[in-house]
Amino acid sequence: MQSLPGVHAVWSARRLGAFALCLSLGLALREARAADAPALSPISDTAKSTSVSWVDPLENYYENTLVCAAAVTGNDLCHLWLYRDGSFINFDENGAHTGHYQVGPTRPDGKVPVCQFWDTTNMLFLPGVPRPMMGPPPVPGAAPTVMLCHTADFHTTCRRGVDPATMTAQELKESGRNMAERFYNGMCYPLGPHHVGDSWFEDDDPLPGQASKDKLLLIPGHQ
Amino acid sequence: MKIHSKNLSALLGACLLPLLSQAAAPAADPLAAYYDNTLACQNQVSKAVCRVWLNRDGHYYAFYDLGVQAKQPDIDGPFRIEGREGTYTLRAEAGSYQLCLWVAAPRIRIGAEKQRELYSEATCYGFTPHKVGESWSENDLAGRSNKLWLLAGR
Repeated sequence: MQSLPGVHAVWSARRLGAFALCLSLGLALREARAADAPALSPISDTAKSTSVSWVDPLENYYENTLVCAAAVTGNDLCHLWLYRDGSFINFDENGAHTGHYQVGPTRPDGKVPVCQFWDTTNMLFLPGVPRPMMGPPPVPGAAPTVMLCHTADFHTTCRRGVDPATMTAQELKESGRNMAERFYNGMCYPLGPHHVGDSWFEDDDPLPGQASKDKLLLIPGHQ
Repeated sequence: MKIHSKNLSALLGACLLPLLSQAAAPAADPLAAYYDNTLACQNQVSKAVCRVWLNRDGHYYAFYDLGVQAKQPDIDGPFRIEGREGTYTLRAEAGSYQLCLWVAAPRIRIGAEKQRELYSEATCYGFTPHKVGESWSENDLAGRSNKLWLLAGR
């Protein structure tokens, strides 16, 4: 029995050693994570601190829902929930997608470009349920054309009806992307200063649904 | 004596370890297959489609495609696409489960709720755990048949 304190001492030393090792590993891991961690806020702290009267241009969008709708029929096509931490959920008839967004500098027209990056390229379809048609139907007899999207300086432009024969190898690769792949690689949309209850038309969207523009509504809450 | 005590402790530890680890083993989570995957449904009468995400942290999201609406939407709708978020709990009662949903504020009465679509109301739903890849049928609170799937991924 005299040996028990000795055994305890050995175990205590081992526990202390293990604890110290865990602590060092934990601290090292935390430092490594801090070094790798992306900035969560989509708007830089420098931008916020340089202006005393800085107002988040997206303030009215948080906790509310941005609805994109077809310009002519008015049918809603997608709903967007932007979160303050730089994440979002975008959902449409094909399903819901999480992602993160980046905000570009305010444009001369007062709008801010918001670039969406989906987390995955997954498209989750229900087995046996007809898939919604994406894009205009092909014209019989017409030469095959593709759509090409390009993003530079927080601005995305998409061209429909591009002849593949005129494209570079990189453009050919990008033109083969489906909708989820395009959003995974980033699509930028301008958002103006609006209030809940507003509805307006936007003619600078990269993929306007009808009449070269989209209808947008800012509706209350997440719905 | 010293060696004998150490051996005895080691033996005792070796014997107790399986017992202790068995006692400490958590019960299987009936929702384990649902996290990171998508519970989907289609109302066989209204044809509305739902997609539900159950997160490990107790939050849920439900997204609906109600189909083309008869009227052009205004700020108050009616919308084809809808979603809602909130929190959930899974209750075990008399050998069965209840999935109880609480809608986050501000609580807006969406079209899916007015149509009483599956998982659109802030109430408890009978719940049977399923595996990823399975499909089955259930009635909603209005008695309409719904086809459900547990789809891999989100």
